[in-house]
Formats: sequence, C-alpha cells, structure tokens
Amino acid sequence: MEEAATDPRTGGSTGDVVIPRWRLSVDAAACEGSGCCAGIAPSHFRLEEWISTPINEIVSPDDAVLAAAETCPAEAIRVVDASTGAPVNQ
Amino acid sequence: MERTVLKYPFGEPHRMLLDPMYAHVQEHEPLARVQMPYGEPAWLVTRYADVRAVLGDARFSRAFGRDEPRTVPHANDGGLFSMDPPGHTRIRALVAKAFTVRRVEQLRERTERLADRLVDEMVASGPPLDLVEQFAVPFPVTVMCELLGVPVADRRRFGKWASVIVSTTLSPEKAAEYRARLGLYMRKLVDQRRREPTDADLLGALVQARDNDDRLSEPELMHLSTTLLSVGFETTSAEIPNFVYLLLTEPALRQRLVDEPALLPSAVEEMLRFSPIAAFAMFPRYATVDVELPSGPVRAGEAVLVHTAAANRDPRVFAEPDVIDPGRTPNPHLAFGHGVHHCLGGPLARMELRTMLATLLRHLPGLRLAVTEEEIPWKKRQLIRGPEALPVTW
Amino acid sequence: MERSEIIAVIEGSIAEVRKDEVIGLTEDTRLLEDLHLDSTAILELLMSLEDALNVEIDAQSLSMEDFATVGTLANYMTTLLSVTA
Repeated sequence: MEEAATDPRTGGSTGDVVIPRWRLSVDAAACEGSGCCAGIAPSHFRLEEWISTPINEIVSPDDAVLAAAETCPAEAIRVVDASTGAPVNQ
Repeated sequence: MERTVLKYPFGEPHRMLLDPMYAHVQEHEPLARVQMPYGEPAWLVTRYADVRAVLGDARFSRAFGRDEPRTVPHANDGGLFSMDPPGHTRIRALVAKAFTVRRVEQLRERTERLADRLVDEMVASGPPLDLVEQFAVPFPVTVMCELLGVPVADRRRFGKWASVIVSTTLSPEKAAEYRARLGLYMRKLVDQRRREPTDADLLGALVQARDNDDRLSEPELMHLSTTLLSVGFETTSAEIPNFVYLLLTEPALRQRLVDEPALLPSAVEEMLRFSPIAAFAMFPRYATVDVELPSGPVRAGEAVLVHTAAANRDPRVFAEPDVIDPGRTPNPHLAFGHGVHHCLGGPLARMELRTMLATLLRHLPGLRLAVTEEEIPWKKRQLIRGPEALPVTW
Repeated sequence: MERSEIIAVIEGSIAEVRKDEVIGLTEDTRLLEDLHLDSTAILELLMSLEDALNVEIDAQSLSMEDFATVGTLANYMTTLLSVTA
C-alpha cells in the first residue's frame, strides 16, 4: 500500500514511493514491420497490420525491451524514463 | 486419414517462375506434408498469414537440434541463424547497429560513387560484357569488404570459398576445404586487428567486443565474421541480375521507372516481392509447444518449412500477385523474412539495389540483353536463384 | 623460378604457420613427423604458398606423398608453377 512518506533527508513529503518505469514508443513512420521486436520481446511489442506497437506504453525495466530497441533495423523504438523523459541507456 | 507426403523441393526452378505446385498447395494444402532428400518430414507453409505467424512467433525455434529437413547430407550449422533468443539476441545486437537504416544511409554516397566507377569501367571495357561479373558481384562485395575491413583485392579468392554457403554440388571434401579456408583467412584478419585494434571497421569492432567487453566468444566471433563475409557475397549479387533481367525483359516496367524516378524505392520493394531468390524453403523452424496457425495446428516437436517467395505471391494479401506493379502500396513482402531472424542486411541490400538501379538507368539508358532470353544461363542446384551470367550491351 | 627460391618461400610459409623461426630445415625435413603440422596447418601452409607465389593450389589434388617432406612439396610447387606459368 502506498501512502505519503516523509523524506528523511529533507523532512518533506515524498509522495508515492518511486518505482522505476520506462515509457515505450514506436515511430510508426520509421517502422518497417520487420518483427524483430515482437520476436525478441513478445510481451512488449505486437505488430498490428504491418506496424509495431507497444502492448503497454509504461513498463517495468526489462532487458528484452532494450534488446529490441538495439536490434530494430529502423531504430524506431524509443525507451525513456517514464518520469523524467530521459533516454534509457542501451 | 492418410496424408500424401510430397517430395520436396518440387523441382528445378525455371528462370523466375514460381513452381505451380506452390500455388496449388497454397490454395488446397496450406499445411502440406513434405519430405526433403535428407532429414525428417516437415510441414510446408505457403500462405502469407501462416508464414508470418511462424517467423514471428517465439514458440517456433531455430535451435532445436533435430534431423533437419535438407537437400545435403551434412547438417548445416547456420551460426546466428540457428540460434534462438536470448543467445541469438546477444550476438545480433552487437552487429545490428552497423546495419540500421540510418547507418546504411551514411554509406550511400560512397556506394553511389562505387556504382559510378564500376559503370565507368564497364563503358571503358566496351560492350558486350557480363553484368554479373562486371557489376553484380563486385558491387555488393566491395561494399561488404569495406564495411567489414576485408581487402577487396582478395575477392576472387574468397569469393570461390564463399560459394560454399549456396552450393549444393560441392563434394563434402571440397565444401569442408572451402569452409576451412574461409576460417583461416578470417583468422588472419582477426589476428591483425588484435595486433592493431581499431573500430574503423566492423571486424575491428567485433574483435574489440570480444577482447574488451567479452560480449562474444572466440568461436562466435570467427563464425560471425565468416558468415558476414559469405552472405555479403551471395545474396545481393544474385538479386542484382534478377532485377536487371526483369528490367530488360519488361519494357513497360523499365519505361515507368524512367518516366517516374520517384517510383524507384517502391519498385525495388515490388521486385523484392516478385523475385523468388530462395530456390526452396530451407532452415526449418520447430514448434516448441503445440501452436495453432491460421491454417491449422502444428504439434510440439514438428518441423515447419516456410517459403517466403510463395507467401509473397499470396492473392489473399497481394492483389494480382504475379503482376509487377512498381507502385504497389502497401507492400508488406517477406523477402527479408520476419521476426528475430529478419535479414540483418536488409537496409544495406535495399540501399545497394536502389543505387544500382538508379545508376544503370541513368548511365546506361540503352542497356539491353546481348543474347536472347533463352540463352541466359541460370544458376543450377544452388540455394539461391538467379542468372549465372547476364550478357548485356548498350 | 629457381628451386632454391621455392624452398625459401616454403620455409617462409612454414615459419608463418608455426609462428616461429624454423632452424635447420632441409629437403628431407618431414612436414608431419618433424614439423608436427596437422591438417589445418597444412591448409594454412598451402594458402600461404598461394599468397606468396600467386598460384591456386587444388588441395584435393595433393597426395600424402606431395607433402611428405619439404623436398616433395618443392617438387609439387615446381610442377604447378611450370604448368601455370
């Protein structure tokens, strides 16, 4: 159960406990429908018609997601930190 | 019910025709039982939906290690192609960056200059000449050599050895010798990069991935390097003559490309769809569990062969599939496969094919066959289809 | 090409394959028993000779007698070079 907590360093409220989350997106214009992503990370990507789409936009960190982004021939997959928007290092 | 088991491959390919048996089984037996010269029987899958399902579904494995259906007695070690995720992913991720659309685009200018130079040499040589020998082979091979860091000057030597991956007629001894030679040749290049580390070429980058980051074992490094070299040879160099043959024998197609140069990328996709470069379905997948394909069930442990060339002519997906329509949209062909083993060199091949067509159309507008269609020799008993030689004039 | 030159090239290739200098090679030095070259090393040796002499060797046409000794190998290379010259 999450409840507002007190940050011991500042004494201020930290709100919810921060759990790392990633935001996935596929550039549909760049996607070539190769299916590499859906093959490597079938729980994260699915091909609809000819284009890949994330099954869930916000996910827990998963190596398979990074691998999919690395092997995409069109470099169409973006993985960023869900709260800060910073790109996740591959 | 007793199923007929069909002998497979169906027959020796004829020019660019797809054997009519494929249309037959695609319509009447979407899961057809076949037996190849060696190995166990398998399902042959030809409908687009089923082919894509098999290739894209993680429940099908390439690493089963069974008596794979095949045309040669010895088992084929496909290297990267015979691996499954996550082991496959680890190695593929190492090379994927070198072959992305963006990275390949950086090579385009250089590739265009190479194509120009080869055409200049052809012109200086004078017609008639063999387009296969003078362009179709040196062009992609030079690109791959430069990418890898292999001396282009050696290409005639290792070209012969690289043929081992597509030949079905080499004796086992000769095939073994060629494989060994390729290995020894690559070993020398790898050792060179150990002495003088570099990341200026792909081979150097792979050696560093091995030595500095331990992301690759030594056998994996050697196998991958040899594969990249061989594959760089035998695929695009066969597809180029296929494309030129289409251009030179279909005047309406050629005229459209001349009139509408913006159609070129789409025309390349359409010719990729139309051209049956694989002589037959090979590299079976194995179902790791029971799987329900759109056309029927496959039981755990069964082998499945997919023929992408047949899928590319499926009327359920492609209207008038045997007609070459350079403006066809969408064109979700499976010429480069699908799924985790989707052709690594796809973006590179595309760029080379577009460059080749643009260059030939621009510099040799009068290009035509120097022989009749019937006189063109086609590859026989190889895993790849295409003209053995293409005598042209202008 | 002089026989002595051919022998010198063979010695150079042997050194390249074994990655060390070979001292005291004679025509009678046996490739397998004395130099301990296995089949992979023999192929490597042939490839090195091909590079050095700009010829193509059909490995399948070689017999055990041809690479019995440095001398027999030199005989084979001499014949090959005269035929392809």
